[in-house]
Amino acid sequence: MTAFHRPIFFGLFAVLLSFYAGVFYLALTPDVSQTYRLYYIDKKLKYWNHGAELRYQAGSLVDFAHRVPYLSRQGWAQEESLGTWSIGKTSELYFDLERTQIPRQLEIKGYPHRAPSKGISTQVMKVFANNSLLGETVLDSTESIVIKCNIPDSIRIEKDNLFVLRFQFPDTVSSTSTASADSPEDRRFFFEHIIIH
Amino acid sequence: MRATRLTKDDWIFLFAVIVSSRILLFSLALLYAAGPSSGRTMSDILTTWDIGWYLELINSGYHAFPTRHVAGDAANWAFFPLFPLIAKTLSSVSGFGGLLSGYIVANVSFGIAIIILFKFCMLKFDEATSRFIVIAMSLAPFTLYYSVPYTESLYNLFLVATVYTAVSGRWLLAGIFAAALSATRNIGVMIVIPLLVIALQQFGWKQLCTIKPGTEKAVTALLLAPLGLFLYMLYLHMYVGDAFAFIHIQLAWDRIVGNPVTVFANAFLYGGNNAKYCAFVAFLCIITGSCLCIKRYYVEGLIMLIGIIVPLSTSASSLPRYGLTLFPFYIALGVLTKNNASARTPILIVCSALSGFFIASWISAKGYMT
Repeated sequence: MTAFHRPIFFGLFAVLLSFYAGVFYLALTPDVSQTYRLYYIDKKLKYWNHGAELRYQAGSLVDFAHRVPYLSRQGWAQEESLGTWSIGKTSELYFDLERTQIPRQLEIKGYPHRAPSKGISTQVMKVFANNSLLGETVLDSTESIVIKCNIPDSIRIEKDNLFVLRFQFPDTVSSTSTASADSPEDRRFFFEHIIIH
Repeated sequence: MRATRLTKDDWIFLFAVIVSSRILLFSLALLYAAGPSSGRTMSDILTTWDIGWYLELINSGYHAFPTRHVAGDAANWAFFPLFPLIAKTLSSVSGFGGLLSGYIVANVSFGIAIIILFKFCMLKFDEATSRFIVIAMSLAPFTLYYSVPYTESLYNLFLVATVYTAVSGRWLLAGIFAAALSATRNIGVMIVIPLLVIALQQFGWKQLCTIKPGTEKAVTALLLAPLGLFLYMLYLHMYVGDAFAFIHIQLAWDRIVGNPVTVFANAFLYGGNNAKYCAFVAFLCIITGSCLCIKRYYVEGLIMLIGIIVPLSTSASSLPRYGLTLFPFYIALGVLTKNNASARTPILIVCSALSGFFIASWISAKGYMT
């Protein structure tokens, strides 16, 4: 190995390292659709749905009796004939809203799995939009109800026009004791439909 | 260490081992396939499991969009390009079909791998042990994977070629083989670790880290190793927009990166029979790798450990195929019987019997053969 060869090797090292750095940068900045990103990269979406966009037209009905493409990977059961049960403490929905569509109100129709009774604590549902709390509803009956939440102007549509609804079912507390709800099933909510006005 | 030169006797021996082991394999396969109990057509048998994916790759290239599986979320991006590329090239040049080209590439790779493995073994062991090792690999329980259009054969070839050329001081060649390895399978890039160990053994920390004169070629080899992987990543970014698509698409097979210990424990304690079997073989391979390291065969041991633990971070399935087709497993058999040569014949008999069993299992598309 002569002194002449060493610069060639160091030049090769620089080329290879630059190439690897460049490709690594490309890997960190993928050029993919929102659905691809949510499904494969973030692993947040439940259904690939042939890569269809999550575009939502304000005012249209999201019917949970059919497969809903907006469901998060965690937090949802298989759809049934009249709707879909949530599972666990958190369930999310992802919508692609055009920036011209400013959401004003959210309407949810459904019912909880259990009503409070002796030994069964009160079910609470918290609704978030893009991480901002819209409201908290006490679910004290198994009758189907319509919950309406106003969406303040301060809630911004995130990058890629993503609008994320999150439903939280925190540990319930008995009104007569400090015991918490004994079964995850008690926290389920049956979603019939959602409309974003 | 200097590269091994083979004698005429060595060449005759190796030729006999390669040809006779393949004749035995294909004879058993044809006999079983022709029997009434197999229940499958020859076309089905020749395209079992992942062969279908590779055949599609050879004939049609990569998918532009995920559409496969019931959920429609699978694509062939998880299958690395070098094996189908070589088969496609052979098919284009020769006029052979994609499937036949795949079988040819696999079997030729096996033959070359056996020759290089023998040369490598002769650097470390006596002739009897070296001969035992190559015979054991040829009659191994999973030897069929060296002869079907899977990446095992090509991967094993580049693996042993990389290690042999590095150990014998031909670093630039080692770098080229390492780059080919990283283009053959996603785990191929991990060859950097055993290569680093070889480089450290030859040059020492100080020399290597400061790239003292004489270490340039070794450093080049280390830097060349990831080239195959990164070229594929660049292609994926340009074609599908995601350079990590080969990782992300694993979701379609429910493979998500996790803790290998957790994956192993879940498979062994709570899995079905297939999962328990895979976990047991993974355990066997980890023990093998650890014993090789304890016996100071660090490079071979690391290859075994990496070859099992990395895939175990996603799933226990297919681990027998991943682990028992790595050449260090057979080096371990050689080390184990170095002072007990009488154990070699029984080991080869057991290997052959198991090989027959697994060939029949493959023909019958048993789930534990994926």
